[in-house]
Amino acid sequence: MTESNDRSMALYQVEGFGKQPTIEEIATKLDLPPVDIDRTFGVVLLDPRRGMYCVQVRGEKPASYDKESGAYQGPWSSPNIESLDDIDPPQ
Amino acid sequence: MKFSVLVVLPAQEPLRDLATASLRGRRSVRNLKSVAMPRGFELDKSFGAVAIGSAESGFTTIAALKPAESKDFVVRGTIEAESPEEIPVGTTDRPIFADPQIAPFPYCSGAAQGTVVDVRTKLDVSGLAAKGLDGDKIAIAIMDSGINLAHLTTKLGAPPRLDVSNSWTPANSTTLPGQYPVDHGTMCAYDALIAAPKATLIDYPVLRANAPGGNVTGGTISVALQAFAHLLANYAVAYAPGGLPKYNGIVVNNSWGIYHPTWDFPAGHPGRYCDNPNHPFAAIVTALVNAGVDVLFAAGNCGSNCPDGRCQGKTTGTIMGANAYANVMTLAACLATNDDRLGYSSQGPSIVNMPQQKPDLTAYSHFVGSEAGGVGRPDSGTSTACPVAAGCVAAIRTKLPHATCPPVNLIQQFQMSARTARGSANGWNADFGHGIIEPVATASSLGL
Repeated sequence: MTESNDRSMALYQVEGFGKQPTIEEIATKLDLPPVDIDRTFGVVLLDPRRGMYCVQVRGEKPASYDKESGAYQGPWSSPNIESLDDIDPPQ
Repeated sequence: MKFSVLVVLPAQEPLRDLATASLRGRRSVRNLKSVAMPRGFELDKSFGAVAIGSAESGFTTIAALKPAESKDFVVRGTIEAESPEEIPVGTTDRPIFADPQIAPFPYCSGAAQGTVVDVRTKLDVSGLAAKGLDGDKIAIAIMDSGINLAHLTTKLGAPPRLDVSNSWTPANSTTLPGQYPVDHGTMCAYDALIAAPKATLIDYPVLRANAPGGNVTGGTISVALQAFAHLLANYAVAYAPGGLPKYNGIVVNNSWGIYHPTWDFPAGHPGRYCDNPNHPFAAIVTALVNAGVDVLFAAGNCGSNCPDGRCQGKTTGTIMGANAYANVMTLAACLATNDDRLGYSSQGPSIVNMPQQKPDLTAYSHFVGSEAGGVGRPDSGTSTACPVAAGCVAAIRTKLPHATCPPVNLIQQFQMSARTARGSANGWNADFGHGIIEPVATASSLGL
């Protein structure tokens, strides 16, 4: 059976950036140290119309909310996913 | 309330004539008023009569089953009663029997049923081809464990179209697109080409990335999110010459999911994935769909009859996360040989707080096709139904721009053109969604 979600990494999203933000700019918006943001994952564009981006953050961090809109920014879950073919019968 | 019942009546000439007419496929013109019927029983003349020899238990000869020789006949009709308990057990020494509804048994065996030939026939791929609907200039992104082009070439007799330059490679991976081990992704690629043989594959090995846990054919939502973002960027944001906009349409196949909510943050957590339409992954799927990309997901393999062990016995509310998003097409699975639902195919409604009427449609699975799992082994799971449907979408998109019919509208067209599975009600139902996918009917409904 697959292990449940690895909580060492979580997603955070930010909104309202006119152009691709840097990790440092996102860290400021999230009030997190830049070193905790996974540079391998990088800054991922979610929705160009909304200037919405996503990063991956190490470690368990408290909930983050946008200071202006109050929108929830993270942590967001990144559960394991698996293919839907080979059927393992119940044990 | 009228209840359908069966009654055994002794031989009478009108019944002999009725039974003979039934066998010959014609209507009897004999007046049935003279037939002695149980009190309160209303005969259903459309059923006719069935000669059963003798109603007494014991050996009945073939000759005795002929209408001219039979001592007893079964007829169908209705009896008025307040409830089933009040239906009389019989009248005038003639027992009354129930006439229950029957439905196919969901299929739970491991053995393949049918082959890709059956799937091509059921989908009427030649009919699609006659309309010029073959996936030409349409790209199908296989979000999976990677594609093995050599295996596909062997199975198909010629190399399929694969766009290496627009494919995606996970960070720290050295495997080139199209060169992954023969596995689930190759199966999905093969199945996507059934209805759209001229489509171009794009390799997105999201399940092959080194995810925490080390599962070779597993990934995480974060990896899938990166892959979707790559697709979005290359198609709708910043693209180089020769990039994805050269295609007339993009279809994304996702034969993956999470099997149980315990794989996720705990219930009630604002950052949960499985029952949260505000999750970042929903945002990127929506951005892609708004850009005109058709996105399909397999429903899951937690059907009530024979769920996968990873479902941990949970068989309700198992269509979760992206597999339940309103703007994706969610596929259940059935056999191509007889349309029987596959017992592991996840049933609706979805997990609470997500759009409930999932699956959307049903497509074929559990047939000998790619043999990516070994010779004679079936392409299985809702994993297979999803790319079969993705191919149907790609075929339609050959001549249907997304500007003319956006992805959500196309899903509705497929729903309206779907075939109702035998034994299930019209409209949406938890087993088959709106029914079994019918690409030619969908194409015709769109004027293609």
